[in-house]
Amino acid sequence: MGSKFSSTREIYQELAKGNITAVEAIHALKVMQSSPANVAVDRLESVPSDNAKEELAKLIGLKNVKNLVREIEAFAKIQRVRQQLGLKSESLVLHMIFKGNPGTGKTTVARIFGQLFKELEVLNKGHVVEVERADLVGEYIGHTAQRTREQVKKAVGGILFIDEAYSLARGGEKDFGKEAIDTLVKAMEDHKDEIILILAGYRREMEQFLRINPGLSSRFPIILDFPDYSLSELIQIAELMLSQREYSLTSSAQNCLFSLLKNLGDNYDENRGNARLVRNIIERAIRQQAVRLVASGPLNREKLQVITEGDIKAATEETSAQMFNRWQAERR
Amino acid sequence: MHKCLIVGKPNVGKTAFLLSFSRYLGLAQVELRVRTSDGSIHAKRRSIDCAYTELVGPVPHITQELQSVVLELPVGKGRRSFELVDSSGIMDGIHASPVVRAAMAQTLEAVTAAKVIIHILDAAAIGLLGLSEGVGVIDRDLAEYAQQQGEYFLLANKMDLAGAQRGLQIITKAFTQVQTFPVSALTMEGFKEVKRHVARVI
Ligand SMILES: Nc1nc2c(ncn2[C@@H]2O[C@H](COP(=O)(O)OP(=O)(O)OP(=O)(O)O)[C@@H](O)[C@H]2O)c(=O)[nH]1
Ligand SMILES: [Mg+2]
Repeated sequence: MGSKFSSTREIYQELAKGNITAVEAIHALKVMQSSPANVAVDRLESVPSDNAKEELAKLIGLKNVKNLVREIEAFAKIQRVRQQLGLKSESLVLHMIFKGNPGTGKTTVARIFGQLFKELEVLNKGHVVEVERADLVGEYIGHTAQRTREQVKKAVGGILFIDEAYSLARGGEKDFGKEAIDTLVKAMEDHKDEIILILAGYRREMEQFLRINPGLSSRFPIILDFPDYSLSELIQIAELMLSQREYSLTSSAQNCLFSLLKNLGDNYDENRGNARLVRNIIERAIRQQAVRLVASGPLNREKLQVITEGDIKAATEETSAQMFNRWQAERR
Repeated sequence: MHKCLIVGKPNVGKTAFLLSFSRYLGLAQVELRVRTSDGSIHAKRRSIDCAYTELVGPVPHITQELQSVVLELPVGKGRRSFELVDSSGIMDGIHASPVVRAAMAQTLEAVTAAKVIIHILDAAAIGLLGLSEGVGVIDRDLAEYAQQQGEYFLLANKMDLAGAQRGLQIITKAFTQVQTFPVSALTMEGFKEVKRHVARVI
């Protein structure tokens, strides 16, 4: 039943590294195929399930996350048994830092964690409250503390997920962001066993944020890194998305998508390995194909399935225009 | 578009079959779509003669990536195109070259994704070596795994060579459940049957 490998991807990697033979790889693949939890490739695809660990198994890569879950699970069980036998039990500090680029699965993992901790009886509700700076910081003295406390209250029994957490420190000394941080720290004490706080954001900015706030980093014992997807993983994600929807790319469309993703990765750091971007491009290309077909002559099965280079180009022109706008907005 | 994946041990004639079958379907030139194991894609156009000289040879592991040709077959009243994909040979053991290992991993990945799989065996070599030496664990395991993926059939290749008849007998005994076509990538014998079968499954 149990496979040594957490994903098919890992099997291919072990074969390529020379740690297993092709025959061993095929055996492992067969085992994996008989346990359906491992077939999905796209870790952003979040199919509702009542078993958080199954959800987690569907994500590719993220070995560190999976290992962590195993540790937490074991720890929670042992502490419960110790409690039952009247031994001293440690309480679990599970506040976390998620570092990584957008589209690498941070929010998805936070949601799965909520569910998981509920199953493990670490949290009693397991919901996730997602907030960013604007939800916490107010307009006058005292307002920030009040708003932050409101969000904390909503998150009791679950996870408070703060995206781009370093933006709280953005305004310097006089900024209300500092007030939000202080309120959060206090809330972590007051609701010690009732809330898990996750701070998320870009790797470099998170590290700097923690350096500036040394008092904070000691309160977050768990730090998880979310690596970018490789180019070939992105292509796989695109192909999987398309084949699930019964579409396929012409060879020139394939080339176009490849060079596009490569280009985006080379020129815009934040877009490298971003699965969400791939998803957006594919979804737009599908809409572009529809626009093209409606205006064209008679349809047939093949025409309905094929995505052309033109469709990809039209879809990505939109994307690069949006990217340019965002870049300009951020500079302002 | 349907993809048909060609797999098998090194040197059984996978690439020879890809090119020869393209010629059989009327092409003189092919546009080869090459996908390397790191995911990059490029295309190259060659006459089939040139491609044969460049890509087919008597030593194992010549092909180290996926390379494919888009072909057309008459299906019903119309024609249907499909992509015939050649892969790098799979063998047991741990190969010393990281490039070969990465290529084998890529092949297995393609098997996992494939809906139509053509598994090629070297009937002449099997005739020469006999059952236990000629048909390896890798062929049996590959067959078992590939069958779960979808359409799957065997080509017993190199039927033009001496000893291949005996090889074919061994193959049909070893793989009783699987449809097997005797062919020669050199002389194109047996291609008519393969063509008819491919048209049925794509
Ligand atoms: N006589 C004969 N020789 C063949 C036939 N098919 C292939 N060959 C020869 O077998 C050798 C290997 O052929 P390839 O097509 O390169 O084999 P492959 O399976 O692609 O090998 P790798 O790419 O290394 O995995 C070459 O020398 C071919 O000329 C055939 O039907 N008859
Ligand atoms: Mg070859």
